[in-house]
Amino acid sequence: MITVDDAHPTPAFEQIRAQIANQILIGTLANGQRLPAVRQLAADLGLAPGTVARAYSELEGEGLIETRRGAGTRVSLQSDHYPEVLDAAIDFAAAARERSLTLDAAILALRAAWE
Amino acid sequence: MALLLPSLIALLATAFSAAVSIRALKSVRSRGRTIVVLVAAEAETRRAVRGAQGRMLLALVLGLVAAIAVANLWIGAFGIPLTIAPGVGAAIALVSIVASPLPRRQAPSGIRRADLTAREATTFGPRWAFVLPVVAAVLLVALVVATGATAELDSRGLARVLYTVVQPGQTNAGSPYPGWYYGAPILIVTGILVGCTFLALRRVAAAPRNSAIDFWAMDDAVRSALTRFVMFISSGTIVLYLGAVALQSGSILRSGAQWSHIKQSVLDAHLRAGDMSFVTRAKDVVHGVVQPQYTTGAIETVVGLLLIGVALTLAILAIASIRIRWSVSAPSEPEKVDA
Repeated sequence: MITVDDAHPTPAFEQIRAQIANQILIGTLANGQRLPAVRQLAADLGLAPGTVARAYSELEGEGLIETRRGAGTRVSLQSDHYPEVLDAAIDFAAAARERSLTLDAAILALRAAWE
Repeated sequence: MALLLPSLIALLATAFSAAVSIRALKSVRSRGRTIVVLVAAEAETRRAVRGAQGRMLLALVLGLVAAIAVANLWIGAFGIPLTIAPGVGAAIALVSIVASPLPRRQAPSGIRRADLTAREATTFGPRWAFVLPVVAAVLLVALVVATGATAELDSRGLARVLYTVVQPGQTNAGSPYPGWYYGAPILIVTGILVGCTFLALRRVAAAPRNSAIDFWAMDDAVRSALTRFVMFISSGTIVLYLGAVALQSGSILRSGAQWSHIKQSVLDAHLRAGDMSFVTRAKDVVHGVVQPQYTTGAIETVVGLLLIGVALTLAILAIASIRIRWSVSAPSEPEKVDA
């Protein structure tokens, strides 16, 4: 499910793009899963089709989805390793919490390890 | 051998249609689940359910009126109006489903919600419900082609006769046989019906969903009921055509395979007596049948009746689809606090 908050300062297309991207990256939307057609999603959300089309276009640009004539729009995550990394991140966050680290401190630790 | 083909196709159609109808009956029984809605959503749910039920009832009424009108307003053409009436009625019923939108309510909070599931024409019905009309339509085409190929032209040049027996003073014709004269309109109406079915299914699936998430289960139930209604109307009509073609071709084949004539000894006796004008007594007539045409025709007749029975069952299931079960969840009791 996705939501679009009329009162939120973020544009509607960006709200849609960000939520779909998140759901793809955390594995809620599986690779190959079919997404609703632009018209369907726009009608359900009560938005102009162009708003949803722009969100889809940006997701395509990021390589997260692809649209084929006749096959509709499907999730096409190039890397399938993200869920594994997410699992490791969950373990890392749990370890940081156990040691009473703040989020900023945990990010610093991750950055140090990254570099 | 060519005369056996319609019987074989009809038999195949009966076996398939009966199996799917039994599956449909079981499905309707098991799908009797009740959607429970919150008290706050009661009025909205009632509005949505009544709206969907109203659409289905209106479709039935419009379809029936159209079928009766077509069958009665146009007299003549050797039964063509009656032939196309069920298909036209069903198509009108489905067009009315396409023409009337599902009621929709936007969430008042300013938060718009949508699920990320693609809704397609086949989303809200079981697989068998979509297989039945397709297979039935294919079998109907095969049956019509088979009867068309075995039909002869009548005195007006219309392909609606199985056989013509010319005797001194009279001509007997095996008619009305479902040759191309009846078969071509049946195929055209069936094509239109299949198109209307697809449009109606797409319309039901693609209609915008309510923004209120509490309402989604009910929304699914309403769409499922409408999908079942569309599929039962469509399948029932195509199976009815299958049954009618099988019944009519079977009964013509069966009657054509019967023969009777006056016993030769009786004829000789009358000739010897110079009696050229005499009353034939029943005991002087010999009856017989030509095989395997007679048995084939009999089987086809029975199979046609069975198929018409299946079509009526599907029509009843379409009416049963109008019922959408729902109830309101009882408000929870406030917890008692000891003083």
